[in-house]
Amino acid sequence: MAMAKKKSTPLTARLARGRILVQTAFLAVWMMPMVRMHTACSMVFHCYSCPLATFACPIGVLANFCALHTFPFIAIGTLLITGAVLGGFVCGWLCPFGLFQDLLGRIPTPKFTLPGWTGYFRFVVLGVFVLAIPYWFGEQHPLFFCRLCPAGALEAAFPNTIAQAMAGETLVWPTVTKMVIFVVFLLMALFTWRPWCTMFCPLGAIYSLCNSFSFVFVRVNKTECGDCGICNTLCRYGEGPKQRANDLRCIRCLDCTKCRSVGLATVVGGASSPPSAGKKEGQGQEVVVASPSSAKED
Amino acid sequence: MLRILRAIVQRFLMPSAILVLGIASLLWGTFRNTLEIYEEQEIEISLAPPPEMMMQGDPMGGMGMPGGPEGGFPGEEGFPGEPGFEDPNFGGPPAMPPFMPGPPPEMQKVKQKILVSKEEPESRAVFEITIGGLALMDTGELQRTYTGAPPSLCPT
Repeated sequence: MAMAKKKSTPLTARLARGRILVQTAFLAVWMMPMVRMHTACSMVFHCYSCPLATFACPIGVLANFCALHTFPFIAIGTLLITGAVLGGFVCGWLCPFGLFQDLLGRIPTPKFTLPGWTGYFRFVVLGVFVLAIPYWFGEQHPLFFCRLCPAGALEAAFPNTIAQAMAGETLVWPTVTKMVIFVVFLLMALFTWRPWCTMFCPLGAIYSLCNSFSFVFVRVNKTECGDCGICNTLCRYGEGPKQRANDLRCIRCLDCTKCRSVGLATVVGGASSPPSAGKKEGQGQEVVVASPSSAKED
Repeated sequence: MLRILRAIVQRFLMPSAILVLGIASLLWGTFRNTLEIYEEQEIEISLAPPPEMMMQGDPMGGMGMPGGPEGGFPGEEGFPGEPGFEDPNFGGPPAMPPFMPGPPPEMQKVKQKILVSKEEPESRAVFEITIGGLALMDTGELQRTYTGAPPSLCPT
């Protein structure tokens, strides 16, 4: 029977195909015209100076509160809740700056994979530019994070400069440092996947720490794994689920779930799983309760 | 058994604890935590004029007899009743009685900037920083960087 021979695609793999649609849909949440709820932090990396920004950027709030020597309960609370539930899932599915990089990545240019250790730069950025420099030198310092942020350049500096030009006002140009960083980042995005997320994003650094314990995680079923290495080949950001499921650089893009031994799981249940032994192909999806004990995690 | 226990801690207890901590932090920051923010306000204060200007109608500054042109003492030329005296009021009562206080002095209005502290919720501070509206003073206090309408753009 033709139907029976047709291999079923795991649910998560089918979801992963529509990831860009989900990201675009969430873009409408982060950029709602006429809605400005800047008293609340969003869970994604999106500059609050963007003319359409709905919420405040959590990293901008962290850096500014450090400069004010004040503990940011709201930003920390938002990050803890999001990190505990979703972890790096936010980076892959919700972040508007990630969407921008994904779109740049679609330009057909040769792509290079960055070595794994570059992911630790994010913690340096978080510690030095978001926490230490603002705390010791204040927001006026030229190395204050918001003065360097390429997302700020793209989402706030350029649109606001254009708006000023259209209104005939005096132009306030972004700083040279900011523009140089943005151009370098833009060039990098043409030749590697998500350079900002994998190397520099301080928010990604926070969420990556939550990858190892968040409620939603990537699961490799060792009993079903045939050591084919397909999942590692499909992984563009981390070391591959076979090497390290829920790696620090994993953004839960779920591309690896095209391999049937890898699936997205939650603490209460799995979204997809490989067909169990002895089960005929083509019987559709089987949703099983994820057993953390059977998962290979780091 | 140990592996299951580890999985329970890693995938249930730990995220649950962090989730509870996050919710508590968010609720505290939103509803309970307040920050003392100093705001520069311009006030108008009324100042009394200096004391030497209090006695109006005393051109001699209180040292002589008003109405006496030059001479100040009886027997001198020009004193009322002595030769050479010219009565400016033609014998009528003096225009300004001597030592009578003039009209009440006009209060001088001065504008002065003062710092006023306000307790504001943290959510308000989150909004303020999105427009670069807060700065740390040398004293360690927070100060609003603008007066009146908030700026529309972040300074960075």
